[in-house]
Amino acid sequence: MSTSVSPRDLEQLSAYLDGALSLRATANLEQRLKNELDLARAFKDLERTRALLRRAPQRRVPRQFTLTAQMVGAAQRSLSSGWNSLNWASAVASLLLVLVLISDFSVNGLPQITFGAAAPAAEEAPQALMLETAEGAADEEVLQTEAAPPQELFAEAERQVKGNETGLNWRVFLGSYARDMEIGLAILAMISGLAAWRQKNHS
Amino acid sequence: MAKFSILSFAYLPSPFVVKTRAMNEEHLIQAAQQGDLEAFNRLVLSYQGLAYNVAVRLLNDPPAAEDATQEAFLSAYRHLRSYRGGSFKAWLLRIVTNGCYDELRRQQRRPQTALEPDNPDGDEPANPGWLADPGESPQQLAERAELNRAIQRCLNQLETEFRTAVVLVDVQGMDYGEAALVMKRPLGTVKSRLARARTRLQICLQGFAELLPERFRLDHEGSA
Repeated sequence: MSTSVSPRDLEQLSAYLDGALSLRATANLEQRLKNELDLARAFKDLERTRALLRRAPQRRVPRQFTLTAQMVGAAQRSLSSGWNSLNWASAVASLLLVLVLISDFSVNGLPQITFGAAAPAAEEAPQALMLETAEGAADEEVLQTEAAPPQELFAEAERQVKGNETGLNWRVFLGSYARDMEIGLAILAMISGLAAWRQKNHS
Repeated sequence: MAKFSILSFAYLPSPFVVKTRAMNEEHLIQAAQQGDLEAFNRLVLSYQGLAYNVAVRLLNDPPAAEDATQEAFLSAYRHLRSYRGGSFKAWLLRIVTNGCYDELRRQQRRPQTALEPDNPDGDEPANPGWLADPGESPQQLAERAELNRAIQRCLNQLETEFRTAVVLVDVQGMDYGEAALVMKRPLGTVKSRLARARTRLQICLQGFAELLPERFRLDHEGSA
C-alpha cells in the first residue's frame, strides 16, 4: 500500500474505481494518474482488493425462507395485541382529555351563557327567605310563607346554601386542577400515540 | 409456437427484460400488500440468497444469520404497507441490516462462547459443505474456502458500518445509491466509508498472502 497518498486521494480513487466521480473530477484524476507514480500504484492495489472481494464466494441458503400462513398469523396476532393496547391507551387518554376540556369550558365559560341569570338568583334566594321570615311581611306571598313553620324555612334555606356550596367546591376543584389534568392527559395521549406510531413503522 | 416465443424473449434487449422484471416485482409487491402471501413468497425466493449472504457476512454466524433473515422477511411482510415505492431490494436489505445490527448489539451485551468451535481457531472448516460446487475440483474448493476465510477474518476487523459498505458494494455488487438507501446515510458518507474500508482490507489481506492461493494473492509491488 502506498503511504504517500492522502486519504482524500484514496477516497477519489475508490470512487473512480466504481465510476462514481464527476466528469471533471475523472479527467483531473486521470491526468494525475499518468504523472504520479504513487497514485497509480495505490489505484492498482485498490483495484486488486476490490477484485478479490468480488470473488468472495456466495453461500447457498440453508433452507427456504418463505412464510407460512401460520407464521404470519402468529406474527400478526402478537403485533395486533401490542398495537391494540397502545391504541387503547391513546384513545382513553384522548377521551379523558376531551372530557376535561368540556368540563373546563362548562365551569368557566358556560355559567355566563346558560346559567348566568339563574345562578345569582339561586344564591340570593336563601337570604331573601330568611329576611322575609324575620320581617313577617303582610302580603299574600308573605302570608303563605308565614304559614310554614320557621324551622322548616331555615332548613330549606340551609339545604339551598349547602347545595350551592357543593357546586362551588366542584367548580373550584375543577378550576384549579383542570389545567394540570389537561396537560397530563395531552402528554399521555402524545406518548402513547407516538409509541404506537413507532411500533407500526419500526422495521 | 412456444419455442418461438422463448427464442424471441432470449434476444430481447436487456433494458426491456429488466423493465419487465421490475414490473413483475411491482405487481407482486402490490398483491402482497393486499395480503397475498404467495406473491410475497415469490419475492422471498428472489431475494433470500442476497439477504442471507449479507446477514452471514455482517454477523459471521450462520445460525444467527439464518434467524436474522427469517425475522427480516417476517418483519417485511408485517410492514409491507410502509413500503412507498423505490428500490424494494434496498428497502428489504435495510430491514436485514437493521436486524443484524440489533443482533450484533445483543451479542456485545451478552457475549457467548461456542462450546465446540469448528476448528481450533474458531473458524469454519477448510472444506465447508456450503461451498460445494459439482463443477469444482477439491483443489479449487479448498482455494475458495481459504479465500473466504481470509476475507471474512478481515471483514470482522472492520467497524459495523464500514463492513456493511464493503459487503453491499464489493461483495454483493450494489451501486452507491442503493447502498446509501440501505445504510440510510448520505452518498458521500458511503463513499468515504467504502474507501477507508477498502484500504484497511487491503492491508489485512496482504497479511494473509502466504495462506492464499497464488491466483488470489495481492501484488506486493509498490506496497509500503
